[in-house]
Amino acid sequence: MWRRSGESVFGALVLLVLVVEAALLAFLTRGFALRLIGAIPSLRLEATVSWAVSTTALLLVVLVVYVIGYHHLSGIWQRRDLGQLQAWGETWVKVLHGDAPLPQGPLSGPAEEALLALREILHGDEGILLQDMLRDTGLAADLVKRLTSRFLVRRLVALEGLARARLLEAVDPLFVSLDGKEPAVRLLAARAIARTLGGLALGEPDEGRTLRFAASLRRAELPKGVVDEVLLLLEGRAKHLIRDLLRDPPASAALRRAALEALGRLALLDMLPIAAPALTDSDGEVRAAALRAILRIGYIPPDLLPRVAALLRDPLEFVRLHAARAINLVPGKTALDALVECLGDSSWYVRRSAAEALALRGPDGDAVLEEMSRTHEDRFARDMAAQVRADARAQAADRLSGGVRR
Amino acid sequence: MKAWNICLLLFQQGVLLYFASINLLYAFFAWRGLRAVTIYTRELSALALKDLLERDAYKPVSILVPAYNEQGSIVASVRSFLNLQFPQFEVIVVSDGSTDESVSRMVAAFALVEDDRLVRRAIEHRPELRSFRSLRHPNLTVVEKQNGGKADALNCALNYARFPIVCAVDADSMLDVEALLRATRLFVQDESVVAVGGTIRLLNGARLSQGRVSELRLPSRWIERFQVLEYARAFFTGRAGWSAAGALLIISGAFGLFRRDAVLLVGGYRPDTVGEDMELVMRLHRHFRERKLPYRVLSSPDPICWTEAPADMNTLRKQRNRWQRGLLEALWIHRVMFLNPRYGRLGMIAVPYFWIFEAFSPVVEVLGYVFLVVSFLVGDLFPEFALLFLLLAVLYGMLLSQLAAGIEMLLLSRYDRMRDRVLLFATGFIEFLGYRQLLTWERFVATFQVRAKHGKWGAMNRLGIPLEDHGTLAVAPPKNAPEPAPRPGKA
Repeated sequence: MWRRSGESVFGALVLLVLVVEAALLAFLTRGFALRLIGAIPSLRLEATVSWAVSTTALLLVVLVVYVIGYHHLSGIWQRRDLGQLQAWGETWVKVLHGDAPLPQGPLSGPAEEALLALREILHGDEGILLQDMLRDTGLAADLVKRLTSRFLVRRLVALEGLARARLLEAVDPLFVSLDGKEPAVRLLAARAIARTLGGLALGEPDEGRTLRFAASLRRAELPKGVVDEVLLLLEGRAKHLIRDLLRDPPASAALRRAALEALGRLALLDMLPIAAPALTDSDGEVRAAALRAILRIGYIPPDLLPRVAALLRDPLEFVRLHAARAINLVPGKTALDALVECLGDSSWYVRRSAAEALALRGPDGDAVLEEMSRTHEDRFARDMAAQVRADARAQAADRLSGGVRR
Repeated sequence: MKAWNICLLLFQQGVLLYFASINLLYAFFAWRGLRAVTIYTRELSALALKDLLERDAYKPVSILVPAYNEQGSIVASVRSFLNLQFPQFEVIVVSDGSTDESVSRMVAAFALVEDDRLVRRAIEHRPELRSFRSLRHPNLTVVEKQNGGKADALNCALNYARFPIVCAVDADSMLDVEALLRATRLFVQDESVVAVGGTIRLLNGARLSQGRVSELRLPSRWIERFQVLEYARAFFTGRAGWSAAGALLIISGAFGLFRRDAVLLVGGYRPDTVGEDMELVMRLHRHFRERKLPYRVLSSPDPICWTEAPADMNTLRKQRNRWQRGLLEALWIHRVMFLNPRYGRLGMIAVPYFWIFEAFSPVVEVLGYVFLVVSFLVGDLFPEFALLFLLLAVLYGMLLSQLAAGIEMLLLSRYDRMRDRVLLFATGFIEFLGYRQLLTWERFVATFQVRAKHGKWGAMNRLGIPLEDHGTLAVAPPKNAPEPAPRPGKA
């Protein structure tokens, strides 16, 4: 973990060292070149080198003084801030319960931090009260104002603060940041918006903002993983975005996959029909994401079953692997037969996946595995069935012996 | 001016330009690295990590631990890996033909029983002898195989790995509790990331409590202190800078995370080189660049791995000899990249830099000393001028060390005692009084031993990871551990 102060000043100092040393190098090169053509005497060159030595030594002294000074002071600040943070935490709790008057801004660093930390953990009525406190102390307005600072660090700190504050009035300025040039700013702005909208009570009107968010996400070119994260942070309100990302005109394959991942992780059963076209998407990763969504939700609607079954013969190994896992959600002999077929797949991973799926089906699956370990025409299928049975027995023994499980 | 004087001046000019270029580049990297730290600390805040964990947004990891005669540290290391804070991971230890008690100690410590797991052999390696699973830790697998070298052991572990991200660590290392969480975050965030290197810091001198580093102190021996500075320079300036420039060529073998499918795609680790870590990263670069596929190789300043540095000169010399040979082997294998615009900034900047400023730096430095002696012997050396010139070189080096040490102080876990901070400054000066020259000589010798010592690692003496507080050492290793078998194949 890194300290969150001092790096800007040190960065400026490093830049100074860099510039001065580059200038010195140029100066020395010139001196040597002049000496080479006899334009200056050797004493003059020696003086130039002396000068370079003195300047470098001076830079070194400045650097060391800064490092040691910062080291000493940051230790003191850290101890002081810890004490103040605790004191401010107690003060804010008193204010929240009406036992103390509201301190007026501008607030000190520890006071801001303590208030935002409290806002992070308290929800419901107390959360609303804390939002009012953020506004009344001027911190909310201050954080929004800092979004336009020309210093990157200030903007990043403000974005993190707003992500914790979750203030609806900050969403519009955050959209401006989401359209910014700096990737880190876009990422933190997306997170802050998602946390704010995700934290709203489900009854509150928000569709306009959520759809605007979807449009911004399409433009922002955030990595797929960030979009995943944003959709998960939105929780129940992710529906609008997921619908938007999967409908015509479809978003990029990465965004469609992110939408499907979120659909599965948030277990949005009622949105499964929207995922149906993804099962026949031209992009294999999207097909696999749709299967994962189904698997996470744990249910295959009957009308989607033929499409899922068809994916057991997909040309892509990883799609077949997920299809084998998904088909296991279907009760009855149809799924058993399909899994037995997968056991003879050319891919080791699909065979393993099918065997594990069978093992998860309890006594019926185990009986099939036992039979396949003896009778399957493919030697690799027989081996895999035997191996997965043995693994399942070992795991069961672990559980019975009270082994520590992760 | 005499011709000799002109030669002398030209040589001085060349040496000046050479060393100043390295130092300027590293100062530039320190500046870029600081910017990366600034952004990183905000992007990956505790808040962001909490959000991710609460929503199960992570990728499971297989930790691969190749081990050869590590009886002194293996139990403590594996225990530290098993104690990591991460929702889903497995630890795969591969004993690479160990002749000591590594396996039996693990069997006793983790209640291992033999297992006959069926594993897909995606990569070839020397045959396994036995595999074990733990009755206490379902996520621990131990494999015993014939000796084939570190790369071979890693290939075996790769076959056993079940998860999409693999983390290769040394058996004498410990990971920070949040290291996996922070490092895998980069894979979750951006799917094009294929490899992430963490920061390595020295365990020597650290105080441990409950398997974690509780206090950081400078080690007592100078040889270890010098290495503290070397690691700081390498990780806080060098790698951070190359990573920021999108041209990172090295991910340390002591702690590197890879997308398993990407490693399998390029054929796993190459067993016929001692620079298997750098070679793999260069192969990944080539694979993706040649196919014009999007990918990223990153170094991250925060996920930290603690490792034990050699505490005696003999072991250190062997280590540096191996590093130099590994560097040259990896660069030679991928010589097609040198000044090849097809590989972008890697081919045009990073690879030439590693050839000129890393691989050949011991040759240049030794030649400099030779030139100095010859000048003295022919009576053309002006002592004042030579002294000034030498002083300038030392000051440049110290400046660089202080830039790196300055970044280190921004870490919460830093050398906190003022005495250590002052000593660290002194270390930057004292390392020029013999230590640097000795290692330069070892690297110079190694440059000419690449063929003769092909694939040889050399036995390493380790003190073992301190098990408990206040530096109580683990069981001492055998004094004369046998050398691992030479690797098969040719470069």
